[in-house]
Amino acid sequence: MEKASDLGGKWALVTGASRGIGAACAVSLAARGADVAVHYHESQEAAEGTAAQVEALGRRALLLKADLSQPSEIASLLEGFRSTSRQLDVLVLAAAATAFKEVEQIRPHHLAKTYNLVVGGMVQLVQGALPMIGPNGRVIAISGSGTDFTLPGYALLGSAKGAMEVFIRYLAQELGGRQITANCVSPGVIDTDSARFYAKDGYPQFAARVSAATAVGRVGSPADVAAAVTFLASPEAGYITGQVLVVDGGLGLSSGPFMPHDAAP
Amino acid sequence: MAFAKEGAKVAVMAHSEHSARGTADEVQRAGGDATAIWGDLTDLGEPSRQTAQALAWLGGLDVLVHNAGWTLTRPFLEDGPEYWRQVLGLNLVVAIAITKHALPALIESQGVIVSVSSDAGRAGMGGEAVYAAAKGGLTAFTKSIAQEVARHGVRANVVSPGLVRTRIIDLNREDPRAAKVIERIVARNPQRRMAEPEEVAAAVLFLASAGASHITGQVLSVNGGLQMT
Repeated sequence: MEKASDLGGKWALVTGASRGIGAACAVSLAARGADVAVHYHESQEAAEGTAAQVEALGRRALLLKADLSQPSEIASLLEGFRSTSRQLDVLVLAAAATAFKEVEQIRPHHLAKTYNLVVGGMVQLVQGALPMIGPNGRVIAISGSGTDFTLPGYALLGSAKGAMEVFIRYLAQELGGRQITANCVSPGVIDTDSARFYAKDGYPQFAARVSAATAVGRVGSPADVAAAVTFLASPEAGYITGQVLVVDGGLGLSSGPFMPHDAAP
Repeated sequence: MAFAKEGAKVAVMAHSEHSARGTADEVQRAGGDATAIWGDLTDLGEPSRQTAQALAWLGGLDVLVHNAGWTLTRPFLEDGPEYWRQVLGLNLVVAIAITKHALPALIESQGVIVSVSSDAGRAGMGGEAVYAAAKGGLTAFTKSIAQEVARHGVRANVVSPGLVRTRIIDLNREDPRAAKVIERIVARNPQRRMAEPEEVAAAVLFLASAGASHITGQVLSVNGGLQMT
């Protein structure tokens, strides 16, 4: 499957690329030949680490800092990208931030933060980027299992990601005639800083519980998600659009106490 | 062909000698290693015989692709039991039977199953009711196998194409009513085209690859946006 030059001569812009899934996507796309614009918000050092990995693969890396909940900063980010390249081939939306709250504890500022970033930022970034995206372009958004399943304290991000999945379907429909695809990759539980933040102090126990409930018996890695993103970004995935590809090790296949291993012979 | 290009040894199993030999020859001409195995796949004894022959030739099994499929596009009221038996046999029962015989070898190798189903099985399809039922069954069967054998290190996923430019489409286009249905579906497709067979193969290959090691029990549609939910 590894074709080193598949994405050669192409530019990818990955949001939230300083850490976790976004960083893995940036590196994986670079490994397939893409030059990568590495967006980050606060974690400059980590973003520089991602850029260094991209450059170590012989590709160009462009660091772009922006708070994607702020329209003016998205405009600056796009301007920063355009000053380096007039052409964008792959847009990966991996940035997210939220407050994990029960519904009754959600305050207006929590709502604004999550939705302005995940939904508003996505819409504005896609609108701004589309004039640079030609035929065979790709928009790939990282959604999540909180759209299909209810997770504790996840109402804000889960519903925002749900909006993301619906928006991506409209995008796929509208861009189909231009042979630009738009898809979501929906991870289950992935070993990232975000998962650790979500689990608070109990990450090892959380990971053990998740592994027990996951068909393949382990928590996912950012590289697992990046491999799916990179496949969808590849030239041979040009007829896949409007889809949600779930990368959860089969976590969503089990229901309640009926763990997958109960069914095994 | 896609697997052969990646260096895999391929046992080509098919209903007809012509199809099996055609693909195996193509692989060999491209420098790959393939054998052709054929026989009436609606005969329930045939899948076990073919699977045994394939396993003996391969000497083990890493990837099982259920790709066999066939249908006519015509109103359900024109269908009868013999047609149902053929459609259910070629699209569903054959996959169940081959899985039964191949699964121990896949468990041994921690291998992968990829079923090529159809969006007809996901969303329904006027003119292909029994085919849709069979493919819906294949999708559910594959997801269920994924649950059963995950702890043995075996993954199972579905690639669900919309319309693909294949011989079956050409065959169906000879019937003017079916040709009209096909034309309408292409016009409704966001990309206004059918898939090339290679585009379906690429998805199968990805799901069979190590990069997809955290993907199991899933359905990946390759349909140009024809069905999205």
